Amino acid sequence: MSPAPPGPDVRPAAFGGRRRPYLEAAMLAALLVALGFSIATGPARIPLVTVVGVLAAGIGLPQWGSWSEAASAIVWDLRVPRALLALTVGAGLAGSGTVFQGLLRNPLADPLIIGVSAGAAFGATLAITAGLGAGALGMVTIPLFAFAGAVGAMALVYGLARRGSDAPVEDLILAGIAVSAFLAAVVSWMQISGGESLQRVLFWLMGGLSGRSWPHLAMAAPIVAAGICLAWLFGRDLNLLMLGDESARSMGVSVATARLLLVVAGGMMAAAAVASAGLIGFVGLIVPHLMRLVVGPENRRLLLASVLGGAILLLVADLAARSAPGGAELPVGILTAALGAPFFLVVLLRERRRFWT
Amino acid sequence: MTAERAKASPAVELEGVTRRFQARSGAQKGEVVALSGLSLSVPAGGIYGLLGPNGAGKTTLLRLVSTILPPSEGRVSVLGIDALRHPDRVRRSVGLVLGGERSVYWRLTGRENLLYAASLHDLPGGVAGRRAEEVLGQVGLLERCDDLVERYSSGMRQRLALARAIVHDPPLLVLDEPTAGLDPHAAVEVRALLGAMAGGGRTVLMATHNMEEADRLCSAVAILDRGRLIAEGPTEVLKERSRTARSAGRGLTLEDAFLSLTGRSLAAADEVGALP
Repeated sequence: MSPAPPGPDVRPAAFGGRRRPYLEAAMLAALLVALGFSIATGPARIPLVTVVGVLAAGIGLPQWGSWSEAASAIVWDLRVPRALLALTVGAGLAGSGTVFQGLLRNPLADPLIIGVSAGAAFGATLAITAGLGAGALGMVTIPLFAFAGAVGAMALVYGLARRGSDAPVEDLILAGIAVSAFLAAVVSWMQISGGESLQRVLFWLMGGLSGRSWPHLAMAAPIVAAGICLAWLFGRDLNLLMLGDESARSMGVSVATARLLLVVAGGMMAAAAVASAGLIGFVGLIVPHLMRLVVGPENRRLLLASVLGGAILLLVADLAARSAPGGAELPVGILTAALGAPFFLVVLLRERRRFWT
Repeated sequence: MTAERAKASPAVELEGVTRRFQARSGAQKGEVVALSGLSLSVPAGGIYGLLGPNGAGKTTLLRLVSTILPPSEGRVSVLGIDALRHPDRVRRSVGLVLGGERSVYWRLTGRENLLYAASLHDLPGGVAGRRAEEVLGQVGLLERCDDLVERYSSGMRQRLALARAIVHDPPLLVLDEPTAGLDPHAAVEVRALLGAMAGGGRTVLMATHNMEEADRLCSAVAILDRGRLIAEGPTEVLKERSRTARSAGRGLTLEDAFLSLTGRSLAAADEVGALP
């Protein structure tokens, strides 16, 4: 047998790593383009020069040209935070989906499977029906209640699934389904007895980015960033956990610790995303699957690609939701589900068994 | 690392090992003793078989040896290393193929799987590439090594799992029912490999259910039943010891040995001995 030729072909550190090496760079470029489009577009017609000028002044560069106060406010206080929040939420949902699909060894896992969405819905509904969701106060209270609800539901799921120091995968899934179903019932009851706040609740549940601003971004961005970092650090453990607990343990992974921290990482990202933008479906399910087809199953690379892909997808979806014909803005959650579901089905039917691991 | 290993010290030594589990439900609610007061010494080199019906404690024993589980009582030492005190050192010296769990990534090629496994064992890039080809050749997968594993047959996947387990050239290879669930043809392929795996001074410790397989492959076996060691020693010696009037005149098998040692056939033992 002839010895293997050493060369660029041999890159053991990132398995599947030699597939499409420039993908991330291309995605980063696409992300910046989408971000630019998102900031430059809106119902108010503002010349591109003005947009660029406001942005430059906003980050402390010397001002050139002149524009109205209104133009400056629209760009800096509405469009910029909204675009950045779309980026953050998309990244958080897709990153979280990557973590849970690997962790739960389940292709149907998404960020919402372990009770995050039901908990967030419960928190937000509580805030709205209790009258805390109105006006400027609502900007802060709804996301805070939703975040607390999401984290609380997750902790409950983990607690129910726990045996000794570890929580087996099957028990996590089952507890997640049970807690979600129970909370959904409570939310429905609260809606019915909530009277006139019903519509506000429904609107929040549909998920969207309208009316979101800097406070939402300030809450969500650091949490999503921290979740991505934590998931990255445990990416190698996640690779091994995908093979099974005992295989992972035999390779030196402390299974219980790794799983808990990965649940925390994935849960944090999902909770922050849902708390700031409501229930935006399918992003967390689809994006990791699609990226896995492209970059392979290695979880660190997959995480990075998914985070970029989720950010791009939600920026584009929000752009489309804002440009809907008729002038009325669609909640972006409706759009992602309406377009995402058939798209997902097509890919699923074409790829069949290729989806997993 | 492949050089002659000291034959004097045993590959695996167990002393008074007991392992208990808490059963949460089922007929045996309460404490289940999977292994009780077991002492065993596996000599270095060759294939050593663990035989016994379901629930005999074979898999538990393999988990103790590969440091996945700690013993409740007793001492486990692997290649002279205390498994409780230095689990990391033991893990580096053991290759492991478990039943039931998927041990390779289906969406990677065979070669990519091995390169990743090599990187987990800190083999540098160039060495990893050569080593991957070497073990792929050993298990006869070199021609298909750039195909995705999802296109492999079950026998090919199991051979790849074996290749993955020896990519870091471990002196001890631990296998749990390596031919279980394979069709007869694939089982033959895998069995044919096991002899070669035990070459170069490596010890193979395997659990099996299949008396014929053990008879053909193993130089020595331990027979377990309900968590206890029933008999242990070179295969030929065990067979000889079980010579009875009934079996006179025909070739002795391990099944005879099991029958005479436990008083029941393996199939009958499976029905009563199984743990939940």
